[in-house]
Amino acid sequence: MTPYGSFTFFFILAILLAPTIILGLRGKRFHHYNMFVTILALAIIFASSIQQAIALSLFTIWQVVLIKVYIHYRKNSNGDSIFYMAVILSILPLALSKVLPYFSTITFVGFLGISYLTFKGTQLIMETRDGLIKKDLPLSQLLYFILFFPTISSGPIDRYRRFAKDLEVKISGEQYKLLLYEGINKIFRGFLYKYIIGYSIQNFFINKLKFIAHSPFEHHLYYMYGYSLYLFFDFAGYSMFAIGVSYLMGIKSPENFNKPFISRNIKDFWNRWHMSLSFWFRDYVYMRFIFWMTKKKWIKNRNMLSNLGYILLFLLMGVWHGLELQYILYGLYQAFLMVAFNSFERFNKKHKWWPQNKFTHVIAIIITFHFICFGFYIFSGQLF
Amino acid sequence: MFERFNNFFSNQELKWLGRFVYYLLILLLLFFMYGFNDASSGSYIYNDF
Repeated sequence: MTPYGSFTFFFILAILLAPTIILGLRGKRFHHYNMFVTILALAIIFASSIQQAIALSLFTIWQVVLIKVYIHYRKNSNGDSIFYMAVILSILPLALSKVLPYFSTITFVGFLGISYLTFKGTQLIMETRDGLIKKDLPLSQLLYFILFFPTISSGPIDRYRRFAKDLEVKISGEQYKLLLYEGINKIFRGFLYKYIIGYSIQNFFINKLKFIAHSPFEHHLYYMYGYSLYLFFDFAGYSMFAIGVSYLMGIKSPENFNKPFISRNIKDFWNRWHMSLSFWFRDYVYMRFIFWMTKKKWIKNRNMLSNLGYILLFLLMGVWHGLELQYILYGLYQAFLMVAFNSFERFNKKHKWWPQNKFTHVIAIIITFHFICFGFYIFSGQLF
Repeated sequence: MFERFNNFFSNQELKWLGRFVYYLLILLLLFFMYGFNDASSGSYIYNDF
């Protein structure tokens, strides 16, 4: 069953989470019950595919063993090669699931949510390397973090230390009431985004474009805007469901979107769109690349270094979506926009060519919106 | 004037009513669009990644 994909799923959730809500309103602890709900929910989600259920189980054992062994190792040593090996091994199942289908008929490695579970596992290894995680993690807590069902299929990607803090906090009945209101509000917004607006855009606009557009150019132009809005309402709707259900379970999963279509430049956009993923790439790819290159002193020009970091980040992000040309091109396009904006920002700092006022702010939003939509048009695969 | 306007919108009962109408509208729209059928809005784009 697809998470949040049908009304039946929500009815099942309402029944499963009723005891959580009652316990929460009475100010009682509910995380043990929620762990039980997670097991049940995962069984329901993966019941239709035994192959995926087995892949998920093996993947989880793989990640847990890797994390536990690396934490144990890191207590006494801090070798570079072991760290790189641990990261590669953590990413390996995801890489195999992405690459294998292109070269063979093997499809049993992948399962729903493999990417987001990998991001969590790799993050734990990196934070252990940084000394941010020093103690052994309780197995139940580690499993709960990795397999937390509200965010299993497409995130948002939570951070372990933030998640663990939520588990430790004692929530009073009054505090839970606020979480419940906020959670319900997000779930309703999810319905509005995904089931009403997203559905309407797809069925009454995108699917009817052949009757609306008068020329191929018009068709592509309308598709570009329609698909951009559809992608937002689809993904933001899912995120609202995932975050809302997390709130009902006493976990404040991070936000994924913050009005991305009012971004005033591409940098601003990546701080508003799929935030948990872009922050993950920023922290664990971009920052590490900059740190590593600075340490090795291979490139001394900071601007060049920053641009190379963006190219690496967005190329990786593109490839993560898939090895199809449209995703690689999408990554390169975003990297190009970032590098171009970086250069423009430096130029403008010197020459004050683009003044900062309300009018230019609005113009910047309009220009950025069109560049973003063209990016999604590439992403959609309609360009070829 | 501005204070009265502010007080009006920070009224708890009004906020409650606004939220009630908002939720009701969403439920009504869902009912008009899907009736008693289960949703057929398809999977999520990002589930494929």
